[in-house]
Amino acid sequence: MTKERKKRALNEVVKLYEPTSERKRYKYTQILSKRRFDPSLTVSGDLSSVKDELTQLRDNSLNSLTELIKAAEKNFDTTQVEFVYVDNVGDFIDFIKRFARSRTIVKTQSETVNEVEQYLLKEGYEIVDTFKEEYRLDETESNISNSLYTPAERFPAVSLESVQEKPLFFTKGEVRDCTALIGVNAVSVEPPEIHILQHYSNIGRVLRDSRDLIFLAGVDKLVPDRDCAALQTRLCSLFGLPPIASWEAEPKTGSNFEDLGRISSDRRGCLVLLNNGRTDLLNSDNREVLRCLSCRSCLSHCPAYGYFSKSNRKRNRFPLADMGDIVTVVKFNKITPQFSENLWTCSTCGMCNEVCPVSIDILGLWEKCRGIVVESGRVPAKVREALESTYLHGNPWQYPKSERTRWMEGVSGKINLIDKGAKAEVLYYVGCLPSFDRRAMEIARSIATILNVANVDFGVLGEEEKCCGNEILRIGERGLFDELARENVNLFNMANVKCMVTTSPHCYNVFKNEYPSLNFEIMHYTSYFLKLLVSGRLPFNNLKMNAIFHDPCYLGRHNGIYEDARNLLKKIGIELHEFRRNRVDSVCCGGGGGRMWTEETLNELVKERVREAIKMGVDVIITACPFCHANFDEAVKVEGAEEKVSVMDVAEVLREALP
Amino acid sequence: MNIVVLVKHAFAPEPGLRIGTDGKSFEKQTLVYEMNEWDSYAVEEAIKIKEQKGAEVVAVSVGKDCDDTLRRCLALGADRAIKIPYDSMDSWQIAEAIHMSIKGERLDLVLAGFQSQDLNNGLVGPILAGMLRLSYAIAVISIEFEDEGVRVKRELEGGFQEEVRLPLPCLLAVQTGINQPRYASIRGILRAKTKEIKESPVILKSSTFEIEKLYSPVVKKAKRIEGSAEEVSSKLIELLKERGLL
Repeated sequence: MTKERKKRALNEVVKLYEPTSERKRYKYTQILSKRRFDPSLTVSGDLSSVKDELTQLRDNSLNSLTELIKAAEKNFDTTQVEFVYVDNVGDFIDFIKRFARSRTIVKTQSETVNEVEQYLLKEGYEIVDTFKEEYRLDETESNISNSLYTPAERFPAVSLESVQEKPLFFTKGEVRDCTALIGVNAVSVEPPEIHILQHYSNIGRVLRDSRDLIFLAGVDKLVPDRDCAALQTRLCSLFGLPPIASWEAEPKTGSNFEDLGRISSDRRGCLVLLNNGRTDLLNSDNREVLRCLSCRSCLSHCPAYGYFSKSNRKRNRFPLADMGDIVTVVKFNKITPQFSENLWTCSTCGMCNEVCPVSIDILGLWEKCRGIVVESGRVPAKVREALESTYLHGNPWQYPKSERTRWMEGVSGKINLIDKGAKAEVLYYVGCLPSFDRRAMEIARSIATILNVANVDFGVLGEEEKCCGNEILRIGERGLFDELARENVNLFNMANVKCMVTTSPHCYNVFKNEYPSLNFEIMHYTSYFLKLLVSGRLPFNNLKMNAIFHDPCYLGRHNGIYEDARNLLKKIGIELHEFRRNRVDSVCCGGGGGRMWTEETLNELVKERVREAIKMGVDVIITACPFCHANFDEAVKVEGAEEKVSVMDVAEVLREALP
Repeated sequence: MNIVVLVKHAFAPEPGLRIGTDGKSFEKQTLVYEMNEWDSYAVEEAIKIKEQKGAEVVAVSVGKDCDDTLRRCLALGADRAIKIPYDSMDSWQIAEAIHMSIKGERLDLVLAGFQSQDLNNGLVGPILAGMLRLSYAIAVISIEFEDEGVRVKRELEGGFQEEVRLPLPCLLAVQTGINQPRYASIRGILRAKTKEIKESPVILKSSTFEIEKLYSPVVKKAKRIEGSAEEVSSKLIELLKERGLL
């Protein structure tokens, strides 16, 4: 005789988690003053090992995804919780027509729900966003002077164990006449058990009170067992933005949900597993996208998101939705015109890759998307002009080739012109901005002067020097980059040098990491000058300066070089202040990714950096990149702070120390 | 629909230009060639019409070395190209060469740029229209198709516009800003190598056009206004009043 399976209630199958420690309940502004970072409370001690653990977990689940789906289909039948597997959105619409007893759908923040939303609207369903309606979001939270916090500051002031399981409870009495559509963080399949896991605060009161609850999970949320599901959900709740209702937002009183009338009815729940192309991604280049758990960590640390663009800031006080859906976009290979606009605000600083807990190469995805848009031709006019200029004139600034050597006027000492046939041991690769721009020229002139004082046998490519192509690659024009690289490599071979020194970390990055291997050493000038100094080839006087160093993204975060410039400056006698966010956490100046040509307004974070420096009483902000140099220079002017602080590149500082 | 679009492989007017020793031409190595800016708007308009209504777009260019520009047109979406391998500065001669080269083509619309960026004559379009006996409009900033032809807006001086209706076939010379030209990626240009560029077999009659002299305009030195903020601003106000701007 077969045993009757006990029918499971919805709240036995749905598990909710929330960090319960008091520490999570603080305003962002208070983190700085009341920071009590207690190492004994952290998970396994550092961000990277947790990253590894979560990445592994996701990969394991993905590797067994097809089996998990089969198991889910086979075994859910026996657990007596309504379960539906749908292959595409059309099937989902058919299901919801059958299942939902109300035409009003209430939802909260969920990417999977967003996926189906427009189709539901087309079918005439009304959709209420409870996230925005149920919680009152404090207007003052959008105050730009609250800087972004570093991953170490955001990441656990709580431990894994403090992420507690909380019951899914329903308020007593009548249900609301609406259908709840709720996203899911993990679904574990252990026949006959299934468990649906989500963050407690992602399911507000209105959702819980609904007549019909649909838990919508992408099939990528399937995990092998309950422990995996719990770990995934717990880890996820520690990253990114905490579920909104667990901190500042207070529930609105008298919210307009009263018109979602209460009725006397039974409550129904079900789990829907949505494929919609996800299994196709398993065999593609973009497979890693399926690891994404929508933790929003990338967005929380993105300098572009909500900060570069004022209109973004107004619309998205909390970094959710729209621009952050890069992963979703790649998942569904759909680049909307709206997304295309936001595509060009990325400065390729790399912070997203740094903080992603499942190690997705988000930056790579940005570039892929840009590449698709570039091939379609639909780029903003300024991007087109920069690309066409690079093709025609060898620089993105529309300067004629013939002006590329003007920076050399008045530099004392000899500069070998390799394009005219001279030979040299060291190739000084100047770069486009320092060659043409009046202000940036000073960096090149300082570098050439110092090279001469140190008696270095160096030469430049002169008028034949072409754009290195780093920003071209970041913009996504692979074809143009290949042409530039081919031509540059020919020039380099002709030059036959032993070592190359670049002004810009961007040039350094692309020559070092993306060009075919070159048979000479490549160094950023700060590393080279440190070498000269240490070996006694560079004479200098001690220099006293009240200064601070700003880590450029392409030297620091992208290439792990943080100490060379600092050591160089310390050796000539300068005691450096440090920004609160320094080294790997350095805040991008907003110059990369083509923004030097596309963006007309300076981003807020640079101005804030300047304000931070002034507050510290610093006289000089020292940069090591011509883009940072230009942006900080402008920020100082915009802040009206030219009397208080000045901006100098490392080379300009070193030149002052020359005897 | 059959559209012919005229493009010029023109040199970029930029500071590096130098006049040669004969005083009648530029030093060749100082010239950087690209698709004429106005024509890129014409090409974009042609492709837009192709995307919206369906059309065959044929790009036509006059010049010994205009292959790059024609290749770019093909990458942007033109179906085929005609190259007329002559260099000339004579607008009549150029119009005639084009007229002869497109004799066999079906014509619903001829699109061109308002003027070239290197010579600024703006003549080839209207002269060709005359040769083809087509109605034409120049400085066009918007094109709308109607049942019996097109309704276009023309840009006039002082911010004014004029609306004109023309029957098809007609010739339209477009102004910059009529659209946002798309970008032709390098890979796109390479892929376009499969599309046809046909050389036109016409022979140009000799031209009566002759260049007497080519010279740079006299450069007036910029004046620097010195003094305190008050002094500078009052001097500036005087200057602006002098020029009738205040």
